[in-house]
Amino acid sequence: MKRSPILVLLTLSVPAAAAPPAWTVIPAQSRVGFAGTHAGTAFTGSFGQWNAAIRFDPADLGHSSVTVQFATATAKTGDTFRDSALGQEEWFDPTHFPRATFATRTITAAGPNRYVADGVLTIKGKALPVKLPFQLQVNGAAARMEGSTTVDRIAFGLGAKSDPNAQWVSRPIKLTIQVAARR
Amino acid sequence: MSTDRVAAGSAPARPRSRYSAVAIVLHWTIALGILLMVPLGWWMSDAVTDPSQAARVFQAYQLHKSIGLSILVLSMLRLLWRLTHRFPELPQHMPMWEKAAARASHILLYGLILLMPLTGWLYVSAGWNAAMNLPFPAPTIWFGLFQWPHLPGLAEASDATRARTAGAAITVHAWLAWGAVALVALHAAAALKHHLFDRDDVLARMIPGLRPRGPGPEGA
Repeated sequence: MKRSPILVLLTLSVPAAAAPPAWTVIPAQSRVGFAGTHAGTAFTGSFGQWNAAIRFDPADLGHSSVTVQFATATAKTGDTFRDSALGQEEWFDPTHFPRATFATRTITAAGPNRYVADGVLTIKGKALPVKLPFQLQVNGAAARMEGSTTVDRIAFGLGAKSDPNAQWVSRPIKLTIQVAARR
Repeated sequence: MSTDRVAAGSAPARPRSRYSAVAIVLHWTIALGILLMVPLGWWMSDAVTDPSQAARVFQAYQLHKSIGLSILVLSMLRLLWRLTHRFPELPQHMPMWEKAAARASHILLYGLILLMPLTGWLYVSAGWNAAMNLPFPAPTIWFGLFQWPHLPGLAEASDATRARTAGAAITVHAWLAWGAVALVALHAAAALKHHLFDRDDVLARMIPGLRPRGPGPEGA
């Protein structure tokens, strides 16, 4: 897993003694998906390649953080039309924006095994605050996380010129994150 | 009888009494395509601005593009076939002006079946929704099977160039649609006139299974 400068900075800024443990994602049991409607039909898709740097300790949320990078070119829905469109400048524009990122700023507890990650989602160079509520089960050295949130595609410039009124593609896009990780 | 057949098969100068099977299949396949495409095209270009029709309009555009590009390939085959194979001559009884009109209308029909798909292809390649004047780079998936490439150079062009190209292409495309209606009506009317009034074999030689009227080389 290649570390971005952001990740190195994040890691360095956390005092070693207080650092929550690092978690490694198990890709086969993890998925970052998205869902919406196109031309009256519901679609779901996912990112084929992404990586996450997770430092998490339920007892030390103040020092916990998650940074995720998505390879925008690997967003696939299984439909030739949609997948071709996603690779265009009008949608994910992977040529100019090969990566989308999500980085938490704060993680707060919201009940038993429930948390809310308050972070910044950056797609096509547009960084916007996103709240991601999630559930987390820690079982010794293994953890399972599930969360979802809905974003407005227009705010990130996705199909903003070709479909500003959501005639074809819904403005709300639901993001679903399922992660299995081990320490 | 057998010598007659051998002679017919080996004499290149002798005209055919019927169109070849390839020409007949291409003719009727393209004809069916045109009959589907004109109403489909008119409906969808009206409905494209109606958000409540989005699902059907999306399917209609993909279908229209798939049929249209198929017509383009079939039309190129047809033109190639026409240029490399013998075809029946016009009946002797036709006056010169009728022969000239028939040739002209056939040249126009060939031009039409090539230019309609080409202007449509140019329009979708420009990736611009002319009806709503916004960029619209919709891929073309041939009958849902594979992505048909768009004409090069336009995807990277400026918005102004794409808008201009799309506007010109769709304007010509729409005029050609009217031309198609007029020309196909004339073509069908002429074929019926030959069949019903002139009572020659002009229509029969393009109908599968029908034998030409009168004593032709194979009709004797």
